[in-house]
Amino acid sequence: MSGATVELAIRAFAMPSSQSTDEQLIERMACGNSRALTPLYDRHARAIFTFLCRLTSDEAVAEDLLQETFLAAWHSARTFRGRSSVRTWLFGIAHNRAGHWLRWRRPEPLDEDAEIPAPGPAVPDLADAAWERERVTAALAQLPPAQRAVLELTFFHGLSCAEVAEALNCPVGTVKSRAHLARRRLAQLLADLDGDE
Amino acid sequence: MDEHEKWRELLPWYANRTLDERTQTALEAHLRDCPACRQELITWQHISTAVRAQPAPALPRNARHRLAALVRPQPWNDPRLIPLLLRSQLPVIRGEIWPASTLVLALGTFVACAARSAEALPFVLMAPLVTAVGVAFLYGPAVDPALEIELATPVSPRLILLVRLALVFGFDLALGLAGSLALALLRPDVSLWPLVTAWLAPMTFLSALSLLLSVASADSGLGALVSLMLWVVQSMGRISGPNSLPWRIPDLTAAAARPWLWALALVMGALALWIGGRTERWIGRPA
Repeated sequence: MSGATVELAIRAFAMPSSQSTDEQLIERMACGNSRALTPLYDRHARAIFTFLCRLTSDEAVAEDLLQETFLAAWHSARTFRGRSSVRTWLFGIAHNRAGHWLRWRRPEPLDEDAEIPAPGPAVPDLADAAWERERVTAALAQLPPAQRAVLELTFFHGLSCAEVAEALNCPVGTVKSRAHLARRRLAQLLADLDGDE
Repeated sequence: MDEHEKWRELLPWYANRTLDERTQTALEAHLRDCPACRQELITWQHISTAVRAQPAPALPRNARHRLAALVRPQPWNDPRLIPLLLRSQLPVIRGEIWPASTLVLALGTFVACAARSAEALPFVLMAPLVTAVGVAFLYGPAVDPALEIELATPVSPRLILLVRLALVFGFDLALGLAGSLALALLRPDVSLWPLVTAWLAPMTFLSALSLLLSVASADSGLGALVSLMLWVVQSMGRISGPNSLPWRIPDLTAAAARPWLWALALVMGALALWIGGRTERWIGRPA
């Protein structure tokens, strides 16, 4: 048997080791080796599930979407071209699935950038105390999903601007403007909370 | 876009430390001279802290098993794997099948050529029998003594059975075509296509019957024995004439029987593959 054939056989049938990289696991999945999905799931499911929970605010829905995400990854492993990391690719699939669900649940567009008015009054200058965690957490839940996705991927999952753009399938400029709009909206929401109290 | 705006947009990724070193150094230089950006950076750091401080939900316990139940190995996804699968099953198939099939069909060709019998009858009768006996030995404890290990591999038992069937049936089909071609060349009264159609339908039918019996009983001997007996009786009827036996035997090599033979072969073959893909019955039984 030639070396290439042996390599192909290993990819298709062998049990992947814990040292296998994400890219090697995807290669094996592309050859139909379902064993490669388990280590990939073990590495990334928690992060993807957290991301989905934040976008949908519903753990049961997030669980279904998590399953859909990994099933989609299994079926489309052959289309992975390595332009981004596997983790970013998985976030992209998860975001896509969440987008479908959000559109189905409420027919407003997921990308709500257009709804934001042009820069008007300055962002309220809030004191440090205003950024208390519980209050910010409550305000985050009120952000449009497109803006929240940028903040979650950037700060919770530590993705670079280019990686966020890849995961959300939009230009880098859109990611930057969504971040800017999210900051304005958060500051406004916190100022409103102050006014209510 | 002015210089200040350009740096301001990058503040979230300065806060999460994912900027490349050069951009980070340049942004730090801008921050030293720009109180507005310094203030905004503090805001981003607050947002970052708040986002990271959110509790991460626990992963549902059964999610992994639910996913595993939905995912089936698909090694046939990659067409390059088909030759590999065929090659992997060659050593498992009984080695006697290849020389025995070659010898019997060569003998059939020789006798049909030498005896000058009508319709090359010896060849037409031998091709189905030799294939059916070979197919009977594709399945069972004698072929798969380590079935437990096989079931743990990502290739389904159904696919393995199909690959073995393709090997043995394909080999006999090639021999049958070669023998028919030789007869058509050596005997002016024999035409190639009518000869091929005379043995192909009975060969497919008898092989499907033999495989189904082997798989259903998990006993290769039963499949071989029943197909052998059926074909011996059929051959006696054809050679000695329809009135030589106490009961009437339908002529399975006749053109009128072919649609029925193909239909039955299809049903029995599908049934055999279905049973073969789900059975684990002979685990623990001695080979």
